[in-house]
Amino acid sequence: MSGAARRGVGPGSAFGAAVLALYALLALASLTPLFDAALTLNLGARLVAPSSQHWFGTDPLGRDVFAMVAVGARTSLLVAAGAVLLGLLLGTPLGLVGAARGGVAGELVARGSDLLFAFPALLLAVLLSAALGPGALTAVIAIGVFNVPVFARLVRGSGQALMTRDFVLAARAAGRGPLAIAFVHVLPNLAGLLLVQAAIQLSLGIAAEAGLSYVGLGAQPPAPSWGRMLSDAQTLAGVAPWLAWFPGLALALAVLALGLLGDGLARTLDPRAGARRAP
Amino acid sequence: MSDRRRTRIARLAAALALAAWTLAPAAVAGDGGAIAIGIPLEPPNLDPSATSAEATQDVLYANVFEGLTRIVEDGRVVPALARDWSVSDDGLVYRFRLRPGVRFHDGTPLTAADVRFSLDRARAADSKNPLRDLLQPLRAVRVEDELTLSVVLERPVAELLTYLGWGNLVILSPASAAAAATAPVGTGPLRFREWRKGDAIVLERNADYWGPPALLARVTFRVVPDASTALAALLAGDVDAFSNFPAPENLAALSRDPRFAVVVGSTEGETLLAINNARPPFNDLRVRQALAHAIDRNAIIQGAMYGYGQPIGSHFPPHDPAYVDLTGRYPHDPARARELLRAAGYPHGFDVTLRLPPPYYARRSGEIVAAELAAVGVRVHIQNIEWAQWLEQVFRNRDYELTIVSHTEPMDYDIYARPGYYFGYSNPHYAALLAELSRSRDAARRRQLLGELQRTLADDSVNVFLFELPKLGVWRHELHGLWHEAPIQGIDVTRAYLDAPGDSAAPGAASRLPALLLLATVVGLAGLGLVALRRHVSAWYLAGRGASLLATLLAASVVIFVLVDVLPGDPAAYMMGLNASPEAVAALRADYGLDAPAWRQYLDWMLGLARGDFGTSYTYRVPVAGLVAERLAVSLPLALYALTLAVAIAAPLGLAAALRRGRRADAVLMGVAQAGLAVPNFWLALLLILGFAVHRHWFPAGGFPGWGAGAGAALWALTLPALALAVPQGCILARVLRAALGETLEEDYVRTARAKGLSERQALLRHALPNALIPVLTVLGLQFSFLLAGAIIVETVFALPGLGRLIFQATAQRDLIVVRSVVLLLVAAVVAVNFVVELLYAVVDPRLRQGGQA
Amino acid sequence: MTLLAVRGLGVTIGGRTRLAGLDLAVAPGEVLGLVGESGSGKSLTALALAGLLPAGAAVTGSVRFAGEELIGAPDGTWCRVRGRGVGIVFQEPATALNPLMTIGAQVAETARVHAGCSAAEASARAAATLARVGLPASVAGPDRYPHQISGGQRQRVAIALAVALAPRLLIADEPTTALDVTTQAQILELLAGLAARDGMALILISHDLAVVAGLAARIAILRDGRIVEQGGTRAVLRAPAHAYTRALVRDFTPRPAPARAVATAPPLLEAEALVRDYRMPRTRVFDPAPLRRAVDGVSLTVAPGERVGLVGESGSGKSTLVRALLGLEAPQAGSVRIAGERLIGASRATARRLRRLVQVVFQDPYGSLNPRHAVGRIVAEPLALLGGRLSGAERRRRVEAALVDVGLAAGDARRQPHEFSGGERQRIAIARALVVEPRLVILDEAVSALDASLRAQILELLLGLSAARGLAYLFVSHDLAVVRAVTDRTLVMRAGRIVEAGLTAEVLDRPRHPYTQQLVAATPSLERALAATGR
Repeated sequence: MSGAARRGVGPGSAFGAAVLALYALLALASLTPLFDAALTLNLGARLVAPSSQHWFGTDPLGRDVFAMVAVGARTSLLVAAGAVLLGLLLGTPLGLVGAARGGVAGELVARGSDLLFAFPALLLAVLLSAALGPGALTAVIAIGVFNVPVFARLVRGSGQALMTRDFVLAARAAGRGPLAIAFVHVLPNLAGLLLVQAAIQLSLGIAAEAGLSYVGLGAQPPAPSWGRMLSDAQTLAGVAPWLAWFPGLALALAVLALGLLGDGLARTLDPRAGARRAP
Repeated sequence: MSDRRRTRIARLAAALALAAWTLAPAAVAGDGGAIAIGIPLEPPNLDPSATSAEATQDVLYANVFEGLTRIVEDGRVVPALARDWSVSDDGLVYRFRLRPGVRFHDGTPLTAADVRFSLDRARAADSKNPLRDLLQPLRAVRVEDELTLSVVLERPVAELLTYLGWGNLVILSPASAAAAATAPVGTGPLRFREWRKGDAIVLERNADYWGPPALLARVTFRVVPDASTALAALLAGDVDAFSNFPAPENLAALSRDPRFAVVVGSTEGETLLAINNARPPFNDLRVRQALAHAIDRNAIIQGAMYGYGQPIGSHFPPHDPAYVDLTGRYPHDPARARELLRAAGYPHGFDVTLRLPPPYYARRSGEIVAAELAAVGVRVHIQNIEWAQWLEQVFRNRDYELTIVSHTEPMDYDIYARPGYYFGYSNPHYAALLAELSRSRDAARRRQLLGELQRTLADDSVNVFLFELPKLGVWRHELHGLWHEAPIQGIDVTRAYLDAPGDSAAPGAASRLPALLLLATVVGLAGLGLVALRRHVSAWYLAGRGASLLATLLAASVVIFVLVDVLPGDPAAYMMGLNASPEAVAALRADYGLDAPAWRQYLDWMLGLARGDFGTSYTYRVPVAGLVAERLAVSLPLALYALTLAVAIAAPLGLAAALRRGRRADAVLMGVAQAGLAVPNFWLALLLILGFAVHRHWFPAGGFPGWGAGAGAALWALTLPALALAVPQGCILARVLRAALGETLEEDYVRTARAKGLSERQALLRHALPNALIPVLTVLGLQFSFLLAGAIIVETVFALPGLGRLIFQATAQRDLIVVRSVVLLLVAAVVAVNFVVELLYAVVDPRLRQGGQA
Repeated sequence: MTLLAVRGLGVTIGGRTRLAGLDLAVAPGEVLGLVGESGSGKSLTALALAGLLPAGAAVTGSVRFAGEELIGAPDGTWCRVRGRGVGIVFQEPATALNPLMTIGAQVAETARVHAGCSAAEASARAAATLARVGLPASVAGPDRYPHQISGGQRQRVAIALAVALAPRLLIADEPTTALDVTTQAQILELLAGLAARDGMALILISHDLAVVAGLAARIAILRDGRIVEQGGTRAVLRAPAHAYTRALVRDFTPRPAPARAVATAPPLLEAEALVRDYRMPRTRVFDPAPLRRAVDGVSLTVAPGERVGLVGESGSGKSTLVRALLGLEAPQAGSVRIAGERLIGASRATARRLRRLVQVVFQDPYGSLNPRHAVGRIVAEPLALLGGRLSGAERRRRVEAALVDVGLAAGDARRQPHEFSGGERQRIAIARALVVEPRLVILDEAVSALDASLRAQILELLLGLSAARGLAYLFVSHDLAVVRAVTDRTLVMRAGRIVEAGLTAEVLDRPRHPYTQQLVAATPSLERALAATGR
């Protein structure tokens, strides 16, 4: 991992980071009153094709699609980030306990995540959304639940490998308890992996949020969301194709950017990438 | 009466003439042709006398079932099964003479006893008929002879003849009524042929009909659940007609399209912003009036309905002669609205929740209502809910503040006098007017009373009356004879005909046999695989894995049960629909076994499963196992098809990139894969439909013809969905393959192989690839599970009757037993697939064969 | 006539010159030794000669094999030469074989690729070749998979792959480094026999002078990608012309420690009848998991100031024993006492007090330091054992003192582990052990991963520390020469048991147990190699 920091990032992850920053910027900008006017109904300007006035055109209620995509970025990123955070906050300690304790606790963590993995994710999200009532928070929970075992497994698996490393043995010889070792020695060494996984889960989360919104179980109107915009656009695809193009592109681009970022990070952080076979 | 009879005769003559004229070419062709009609909701069951579901009446009214009277397109009441009738002077006794020679589809003749049975069944204490309350004034139904009966009332009911023409009061025979939910047997010109759950209901011509026979040989009612897919289905020719097209935004384009006729008519659907009058602040008249002033009906009609729909000012259809125009009563005036709110003590407005049921008009109007109310300071929080939740929370428990819904029953102004109705409105004056109306048989007085009713509702501003729901008929130009107006719920196809009869989109009869064959093949192959594997793994190993598999499933079943049990929404309430009485709902709950304690229900479920009994669907009233088998016949081939395509995409991509690793081509190929997996499958699905079903008519835009239509047609219909699913999955697989090959190509043994003199390609194919298979297999297994269960969204886009949609629908309908069993089945599939993948590891990797000697 | 002529071979990877101006010549039937420390470019040379350099490597110069120029030749030419003209054997037998193919099929593949013979012919040839490398069907049939045979047998298979078509040149890159000494001896014998019998030229690449000296007639010394000296083995090693070669030869055999008397005192560390079992994966679901006894009734003592060696081949149970002695793993039976007190089952406070007396240094200088922590934090970690709160200044003082003691600078505390070389890292690990001023340090293969020159420095440091502080060592190693250089007393371990114990000089010079005798005999010795032949 030593050379990782110095090796720099590839063009893919740079592109990914740039796109992500752009989205974040848009999402932030959408909080300003500048966007409020663009988002109010204006039945006089319905279904206007993209122009210099409305870059991405307008929707059937006369709202500016560009502004909606920007606010959609906010919803998407927040829901996906919330879900990742949920997974990280619950999954990491669970995984660490599993890695450090082994035995019954570890087995429980492993079996629990196996069980959760056996559920078709989207279905459970649908059931949860139906149970909790649709909404952004529900989406966070429904998507986040599946991030918990992802992180728990990752941390447990990689943590177990790290637990057999000599520096952990050295720490034990120095009198550290297993939990202290897990948090002081193992966790910092997993940071890179977690970062990579977080990027991947974030991209999956954005896609999942769009899917849930598409079937009406995501963030509720009037909060714009890419998935709902797409589902609304479907009937208008013949009349106003831009309604299907832009949110879809925004969505695909976000997923792509995060994928590239995760990929790039993984390559930068992979300890084997450089050390391997250096004669 | 004579006046009415004359019209009847004239109409009959016209119909006969028309029939003779149109039947001529049809007779030459030997077939009246077949059409497919799109309906937005699937009927939960096919017994219109036991459910208020609009979809049931859409399919069956006048087509399969008939009543004593019937309502025709212009709203008049005409004789149907009753040849004629007379009414006693006090209005308390109606004497009906039945038409002779009428036979049910099962061949039994119609008698007065059947009519008595049907009416008594509808008004019985445990009746599930939504009109039970309206029939309470009936004292007795007396059979006088084979074809004559009289209905005796407690008090005059002026609307009785109309009621008897409604779809819920059709005549069934005692012999077949019990099974009507799945096998309806009526007297109409069309008979029930087949119900492909989640997809379509097929009717065919009844050759023995008593009257003029139906002009079409076959009519398929196809479920097109989403406004979004409706247009595609129409353009792609999957559906010939929509009686009420759910996407008004497309009408302008459609009316310019020479292939289609667009006919805008009216319905009996008063669309309301319904207000909970009982709950503060809405118990204050000023607040309700403020809401009325705040809302611009025209904006809503423009914005949500694209200009279709007529504004209303009270709960009354504008096409009725007794209509009074009250739309000017509360003009759009935000300033006045603010003033009223201030006067009522809300200078800064208030927060309110607006609960919206699924229909497009509600969801779309809701956004505009929210914006308009925000403009006067009322902060609206929108909550989209399913019908099941709407019925339970809003309709039954009156737990709501505002909602938007269309009341499509004709003459339903009586709801404002029903105690405990969800509006929370009560006005003795209104009730008195209504009672007098019911007694009055004088036309002028009735008209006066009706006007008074309308004015009272407007004065009290009970709800904000938005618009009369339009009937947006769209059909192929060759199709004629569908109704332009909708005075009643129903899609009457009895007089529909095609200019050039021929087979259209309606598929042939599907048999379950090919599906079962397919399933049997898959199961058989899996079994053969297991037997073959016996060489590699011990029986003990299999037994142990089987035990842990079972334990996982048991744990999963508990999780599922708990999860499903906490879903809000009562399946019984959903089934019973809008106008059900609490007793009827309770009766149904007991019927379903929902009144037992949770542990008991769980135990019953488990015991049933142990016997191989998945239970009986609440909504479809058929065994869940059969339902699942039907859906699996779509989902399993789709998953396999998509998986095959995914592998076909992944293998060349991954191999090509691995061979060029580190070079530009590698980066380009993997970039393509990265981009491909970033495309959400439903967006891809949308683009594929636009490209290959709408612009180029290469593939159907959706729907599934059934395996009975031939394997070729079925696979053809699954091609676009499979492609939409396969592209992202294939790209993921390509990357996994490339990454795995990247790892194995770095392995020493590949270098050893090169040292032996193998070329790079040989080393890749012979040494790196087999070793890379384990991660690829793992991902493949995961993808299969995902494709089997996770295709919900793509199934939605393509309106495919697959497992995902079954769960989605069952969840929305609170068909808990289906949800539970199917989710468990899917979990079992995932676990089983993982198991198979694990066994495959052993085939690939000799180190894993002895159970951990590696 | 030369079989292989290398002139001015240079390799550049990512802009860094890794090999430069390499000139080598191998005659038919000749054995050439190529010696160098890690990073000198040995393996890269082997890859360059086989045309298997990683993508992105730029090659200059000329490699002519049997008169044919290979540098710049198309891959087809290389493929023809590899396997048929030139066989190659790599270091790691564990990974050099495809785990999914039987060994017979892998050997047969060489024949099928080149000779184009039928499957039956190829497998017959494979069986014959396997028998030739000492793997007749009675020992390990061609239908076995690599995971079903031992490491030594795997290396024989790897050799069989290379020699199946009787190539004229065999390149063996560290062919025995991953093997135990006894296996190493057998493999070296096999290589020598093949070369002699088939008249095959051999390039033997190794870091181990003794291994090369035992086989090679000519030797080339590689350093930083250049050959510093080349010539007859005996001449080069007996009278090195280059200073680097001189240091290499000097450091290769550590000087034996002078015998010294250790005062008898109550033992500092005392283990009695230790037993440690491991549960193996079960073969059948409902059967009890089988046990493997890694440590089987071991008793040992270390007195204050005493330096005890523990010798054994891999898998003998050394590392398990170390973990049990440190109380990192609970043994199934037996006891461990430190300064007379029981370690196993002791209270937290007692365990802490006892742990402070015994510290440890592990083998891998890269794995034993947490890459995420600064050196100061790493070294300070055991200070928690002292109990009570140390002030920040006091901690710093102790850490810096420990770093200085091991020959590093006090300022190094603020640096990150990756900024240090392997030898320096091992010093950091020693500093970490010393920071709590223990009385015994267990060194678990602490110098095995280091090159000879670094190893010499660390051994010197360890001896110095021991002398200055009266520090006791338990020195665990597979390397007899190193044990001889450091310890007073030696224990020989095999299959979980101590088979022989005694003063180091006696055990190694006059071994009594047959296993020890075998071990000593199999250990290559530079002196012996140079003395044995007149080369």
